[in-house]
Amino acid sequence: MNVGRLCLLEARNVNYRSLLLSVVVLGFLFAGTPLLELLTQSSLPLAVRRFYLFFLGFEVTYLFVLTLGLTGTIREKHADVFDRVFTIPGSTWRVLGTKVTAIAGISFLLGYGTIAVLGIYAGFAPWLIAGYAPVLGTVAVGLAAGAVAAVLYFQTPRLVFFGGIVAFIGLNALPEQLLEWGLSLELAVAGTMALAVLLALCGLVALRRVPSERVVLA
Amino acid sequence: MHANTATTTENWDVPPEETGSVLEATALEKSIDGTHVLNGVELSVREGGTYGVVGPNGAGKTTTFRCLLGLLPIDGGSVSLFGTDPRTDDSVLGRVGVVFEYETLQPTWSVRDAMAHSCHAYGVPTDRIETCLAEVDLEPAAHDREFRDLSKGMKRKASVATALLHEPDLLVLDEPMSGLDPGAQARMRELIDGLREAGRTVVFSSHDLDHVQALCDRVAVVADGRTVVETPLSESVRVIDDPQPGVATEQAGEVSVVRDDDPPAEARTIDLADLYFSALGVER
Repeated sequence: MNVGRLCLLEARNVNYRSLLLSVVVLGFLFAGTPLLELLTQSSLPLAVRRFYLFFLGFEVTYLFVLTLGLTGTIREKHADVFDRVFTIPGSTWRVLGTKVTAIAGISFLLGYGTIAVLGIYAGFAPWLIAGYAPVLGTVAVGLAAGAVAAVLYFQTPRLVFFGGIVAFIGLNALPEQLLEWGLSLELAVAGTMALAVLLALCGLVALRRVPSERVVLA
Repeated sequence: MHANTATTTENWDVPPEETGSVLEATALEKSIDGTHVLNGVELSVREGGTYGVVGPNGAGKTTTFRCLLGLLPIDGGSVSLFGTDPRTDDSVLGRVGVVFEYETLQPTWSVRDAMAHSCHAYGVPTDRIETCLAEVDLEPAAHDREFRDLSKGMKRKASVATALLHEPDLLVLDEPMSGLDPGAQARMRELIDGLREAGRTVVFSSHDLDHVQALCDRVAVVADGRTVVETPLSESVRVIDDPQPGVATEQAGEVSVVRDDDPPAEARTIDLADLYFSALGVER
């Protein structure tokens, strides 16, 4: 199995048209919330601004995984592509893993790129922005693996997409809520990082355990 | 509908081990959502042969293929591909090419990209793409088009070409003629014939008994999830309506057959349609 070439092929064939949806949702996000102001407002404590930047990276990466990953994977599931994938010898999860890698890679680049630009614009130190890369990478891998596994597990994968959108709306309100609850910022960041690692682990485990019977009979 | 049919599955011609058994299914059982879908399917495919699986809609043909390929776990019986159980060692699937009844190539990918995906997954060079596309005679204009934009016949050809990429020893084709117009059916028939002549072992299911009769040297009639008849269709196996004492006959479902290079004068070549309808216990 040529994993590298499979990843490139998957990346080339990602459903880029769905990026438009991400751009629209991001437009609403930026228009509807004072995120940019929060990031640049010097009256806010630096820790709060850092947290917002970090959380924004989490959200944007999530959104790209959702639109890039789920729409293409749902379409392929409806086209019974995975029936054939399960007849490929060797570990099926490796073939699925190349899809996850492509989705995660592109989502990470877009998500991290967005906060890098915003972070530089808001005057954050480059080392701080660079420090978010491994966490967002983990988030991207975990979300992408979880998204692909969820589409394969669920009989009606479109529900996964709608669930993802609803979760995104909830996610958007979370940072403000956390601060209202008086949660310490260090704890909020640590919790988000732990969530990222947990997502990655659960996503990868789920991907390895996708039963072919569930997919074929869906 | 076929209550009084007997199951005859013994391998009464050349034993499998002498010619190389490619695929064996024994007493296959499978339930889905509490319904017995397979309840005693028996198949025995020899190397180099073309094997037909026929049966009415809902007989269990597709489920049988899915079980054979390890896509569905079985509840009873056994499956063997080249002497190996694909459920315990799926590396044997590298010797199998599969074309499902429905299309399974990535719909928004070009044919070339979809085939390249298989090349990389099986670890074969992408040079094979051109070779296989030529083998199935897919029009060059279709090679770079999105798979979903192709006609049904083109899609079938692309699917067969993809299944050939890793030069499988066994091809499993689930209703390859389904939905094709007569011209495309004829071309698919030529294609299967060509694969047979190239020495590949082919197993395919079909509702077209004429195609199966013309292409296959062995056939299984499956109904209600079990093999009702399994028999060779070769010239040396003939049906005899009224066996006489002294003539060694064997049962293939409801009919008596003789296996002889010099059959009695009253013996006739097996007509698959006769065999099919008698096995199912229905009037033709």
